[in-house]
Amino acid sequence: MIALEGVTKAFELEGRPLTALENVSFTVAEGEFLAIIGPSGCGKSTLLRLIADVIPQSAGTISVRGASPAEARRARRFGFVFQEPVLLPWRSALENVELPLQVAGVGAAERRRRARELLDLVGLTGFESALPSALSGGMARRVGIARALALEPEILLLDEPFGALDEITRQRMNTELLRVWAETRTTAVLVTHNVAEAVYLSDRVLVMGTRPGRIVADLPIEIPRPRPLELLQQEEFFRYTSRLSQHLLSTFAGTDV
Amino acid sequence: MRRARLWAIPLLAYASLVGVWELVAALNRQPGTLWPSPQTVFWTIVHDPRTFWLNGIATMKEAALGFAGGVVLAVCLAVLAQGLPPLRDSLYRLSLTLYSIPLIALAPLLVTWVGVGLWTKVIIAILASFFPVLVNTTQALRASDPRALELMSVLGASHVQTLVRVRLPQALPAVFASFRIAAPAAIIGAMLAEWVGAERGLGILLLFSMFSYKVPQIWATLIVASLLSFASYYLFEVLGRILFAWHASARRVGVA
Repeated sequence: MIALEGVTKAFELEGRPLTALENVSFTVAEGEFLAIIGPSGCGKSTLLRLIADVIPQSAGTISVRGASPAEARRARRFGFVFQEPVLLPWRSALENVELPLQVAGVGAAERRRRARELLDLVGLTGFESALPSALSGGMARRVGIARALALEPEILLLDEPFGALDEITRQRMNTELLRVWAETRTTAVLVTHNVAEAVYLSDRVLVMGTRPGRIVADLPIEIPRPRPLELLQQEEFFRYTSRLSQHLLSTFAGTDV
Repeated sequence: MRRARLWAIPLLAYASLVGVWELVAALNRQPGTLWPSPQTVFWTIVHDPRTFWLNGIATMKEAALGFAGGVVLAVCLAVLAQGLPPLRDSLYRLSLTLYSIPLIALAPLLVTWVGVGLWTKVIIAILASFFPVLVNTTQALRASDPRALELMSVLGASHVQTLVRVRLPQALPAVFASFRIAAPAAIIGAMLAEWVGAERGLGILLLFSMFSYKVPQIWATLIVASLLSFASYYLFEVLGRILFAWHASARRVGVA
């Protein structure tokens, strides 16, 4: 589905070269929910932007179903959920969800119908005409997810979508996200720095280290779905989170963070 | 209570200003004084509203045409410069050069080209009003939310789609804010252009009153012109607040 081979990304920061990602290789299977976890500054968000063709890589190859990221982006294969919801403040919730359909040239009636369905899907029935300024943080993020799903993308890229939310809202959003994902059956790549979130949501977790950004561990999460909330208190869940935490701590070893 | 105080203070300030003026006028009782009392000025307008109405309409027509032309020109230039970065600097410099020419010097030149008709005034009003709109629009188009631009890029949107769906709507409040400066500027520009020749207008009325030494009429014209400028400013202030309720600039400052 998605394959990265020897991907390197170098920036220039104040005149000095900086290697954000070095020799990153992995694949994401069809329909898989992959989480990428790592300390801040490890380049995990950069990785998502490379896959979505928002920025170009310095070396290596990325293929999305055999095509280049640029081709996949133009074919509108991606749904992107940003760290901030990034809603257009002059558009209502419904109109924000309509935006991708509008860009793709879908007719007005069909657009409205699809957008309504999507708002229903994320549990925002009745908030169609609300402006973003009137929505809570959690609701705004639901709109962001509905918008990302508008073009029925094959790949959902989530960049710390709930990072700024409080713990309770975050957990609710995660449950919601799993339900939506189960209904739409897309391939999903989630970037997060929250260990519990990574385990709860995904089929597989990649752990990244810093300086330069690289993959240090690849851990499958073999917990059957659907995953109830009670899972969060079970032995099995803790085994995974503690293993991931160990991996994360090991990425700090030898550095002076 | 707060509301009442908000109105009371400026009202008091204006009332005392008029009071002082009345007092100064009362102390200068010689005929042909430079200080006609507010009463005299008031009655000048009330006794001959037709003069101010006809001349006011003429100036407002010139100013409105010039303002509309200036806005269209400025927005088109700003959009063009945004779409074609190599053009950006040269367009900006050209506009600055145009703006730097004293309008009072340009007016006689225009008369030799297009005559003393309507268009000299309209062109001067265009030149007076387009620059603030250009500066604000250029800046606002450049200040688009980079995250929204990234979103449009992921969606595979074209440059035109990004312009229409994100850049322009996001810039609109700032563009509208510049109208508040451009509209009074257009009125001043039109009046100025009338000085080099016109049949009607507040500018020529002012000139006429000066030469015939009708001091109360000079004051009356000044007040009518100020009121019109103020009204044009306030029109866009209120419109902006209604149209862009989603924008932070729409919130009134200091009122709970």
